[in-house]
Amino acid sequence: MNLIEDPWIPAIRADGRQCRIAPWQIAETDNPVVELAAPRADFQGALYQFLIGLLQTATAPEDSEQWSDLYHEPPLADKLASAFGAFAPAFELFSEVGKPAFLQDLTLQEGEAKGIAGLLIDAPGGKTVKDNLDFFIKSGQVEQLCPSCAAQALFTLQTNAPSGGVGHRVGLRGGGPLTTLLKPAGASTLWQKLWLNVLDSSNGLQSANTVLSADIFSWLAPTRVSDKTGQATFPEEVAPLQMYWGMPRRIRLEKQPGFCQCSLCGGETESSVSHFITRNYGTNYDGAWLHPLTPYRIDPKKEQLPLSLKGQKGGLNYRHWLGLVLRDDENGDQAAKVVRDFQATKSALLDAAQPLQLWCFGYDMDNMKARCWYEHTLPVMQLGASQAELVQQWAQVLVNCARESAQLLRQHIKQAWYRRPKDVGGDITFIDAAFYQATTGDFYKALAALARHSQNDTSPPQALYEGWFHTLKRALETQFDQSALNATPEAMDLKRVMAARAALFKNFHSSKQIKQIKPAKRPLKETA
Amino acid sequence: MTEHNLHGASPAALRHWHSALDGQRGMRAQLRRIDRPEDVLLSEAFAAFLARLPESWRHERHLMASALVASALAWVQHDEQTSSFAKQLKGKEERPLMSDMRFKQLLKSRTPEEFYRRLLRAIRLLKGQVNVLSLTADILQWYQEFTQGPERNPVNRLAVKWARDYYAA
Ligand SMILES: [Zn+2]
Repeated sequence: MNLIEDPWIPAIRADGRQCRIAPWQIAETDNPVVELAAPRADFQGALYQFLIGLLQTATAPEDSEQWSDLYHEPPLADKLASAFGAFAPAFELFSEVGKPAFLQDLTLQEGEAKGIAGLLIDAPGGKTVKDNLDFFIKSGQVEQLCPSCAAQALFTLQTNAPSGGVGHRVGLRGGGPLTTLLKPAGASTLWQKLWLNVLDSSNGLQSANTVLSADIFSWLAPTRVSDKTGQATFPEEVAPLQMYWGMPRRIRLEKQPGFCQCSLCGGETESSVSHFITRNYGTNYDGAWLHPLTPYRIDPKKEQLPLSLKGQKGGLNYRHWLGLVLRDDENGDQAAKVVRDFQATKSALLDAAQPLQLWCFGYDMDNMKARCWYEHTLPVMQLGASQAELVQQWAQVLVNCARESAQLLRQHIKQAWYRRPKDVGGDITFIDAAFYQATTGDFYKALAALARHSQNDTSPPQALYEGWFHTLKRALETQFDQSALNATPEAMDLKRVMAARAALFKNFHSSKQIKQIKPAKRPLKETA
Repeated sequence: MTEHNLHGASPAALRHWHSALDGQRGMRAQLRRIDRPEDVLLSEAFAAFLARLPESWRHERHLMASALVASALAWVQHDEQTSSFAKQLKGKEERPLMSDMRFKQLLKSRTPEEFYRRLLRAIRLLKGQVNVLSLTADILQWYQEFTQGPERNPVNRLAVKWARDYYAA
């Protein structure tokens, strides 16, 4: 199967019909493709990145004007087919060892043979099966995959690869990175969904000059192994486009002829994959890689390497909004390159009435194990550069105050619960989760209001700050009472609980952060 | 302003009935003469009390709570509306007017008789200067929790409500 020429990508057309398309068909305008339809959520994210990578590699626009023209009117499908077609030799899924096979080690003859379920990131490793911890997916459930699902699984693994034991390298963005893609909020074609995430050439990611370059597609040459005699791979050593085609794992799929019903999509095919072979010490990505589709934490002192943001326990909420959509000065989080580029150049070229979202997804990894897959969409506002700067500053105040409140809440609930709170460990992050949940609606309302305020005023939005003050205070009251008193109150030391409650509000009112948003005059009635 | 749950009774009617006791010494004496709240049930004074209140206060299930309210209010000299009953028990001084231990005991009374006795002690401690509506609502809630178990939502429990007022005062 050739991933450029054959129709292997599960998709949905405007009339709702499911189909399989070859990549060039994303440019069809008659009953266009509107969405992908992968059999698993992580594959869906991977297919998006496969197509975005292909567009970036084969047809990156020269500048933002060309980007904008093509956003509104896709290229002719024939033209796209021939642009992609040049890369076809690098996209064969199966071939003899020694000839290139997509995302697979060129020369891997011998290695550990593994069942195909081992390609899936939530599949339990040997240890997990033993510990009977495989609540995620029951082992033995996935026995054979159709070539299409095998290609999706392979790309998903190579792009997200967690650490897999000695010498089984993590992906170019670290294990289980967060990916953030821009998406129109309303109805749109798949072309638009993809093209929003393609960068123009001014970003250093111009289309490949040499079509079949091992600097981009590392599987066209012997793997840069990373065992004792080998080496790490730094950004300066290969083409920037390799970021879209990272291959940390040495894998070779084995194709089997014969009728197959795919364990994942249920499709019936003439051949299948039930095993692969693999070896450790594949490409070891090191140095300051900055993948365009992933947000990073940047060390302001530049002493640490940029750290890709990962999935987090408890998922994402609005306190991550700044770091994912703009930048968060509190912790150095910075939105992905495509998102920053959008704010800087593309936003002005789009119809401001078309609302956008940021689709954020990734695994919540616990070392080698996936705890879960999660996705969130966050609102993206179309702001000019100077407006974005103001909104960033003001929203930072809101987020800082929310963080401060959540921290105070946690601290005082512990004081209410325990005689000696400092000695008590335990995970009480669920308290934060409930607090952020309770204030989410008001945060996004305030954010929209900040954006409006920034259109004609550069002074801090005092009234909005005060509204946020009251939101936080109300949420603290409710959350404290519900959590601190969630035992049998008669059996609790209510004196201690109430002392903790009083201390919570005393500290809230005197907090430096909170003072920024506190109404100037104290309200007459205290509801503490 | 705090909303008191008075089980449908009109605040004005309650206050009016209470202040009218000043001119009806006989009635007040009838209500005060009892040892146990149920002793009041057959009195003329209690009938007059019920006449001012909604039908539901006369239901069998509610009668005991109604009796507790009528007998307790008979000991209140002056309707002191500035703060809640639990806050009044804390008082304004550093040292609480009613001690922490006594306060907890009041809440944890095991029978309506015990609650009544302790309530009277509390009212005496306050020299009869008590918030009538707050006291009424608290008696009603105490009896409801006594018969039906505490509120599901801990935030609304009497113990919590009182602790909030007493310990934070
Ligand atoms: Zn399949």
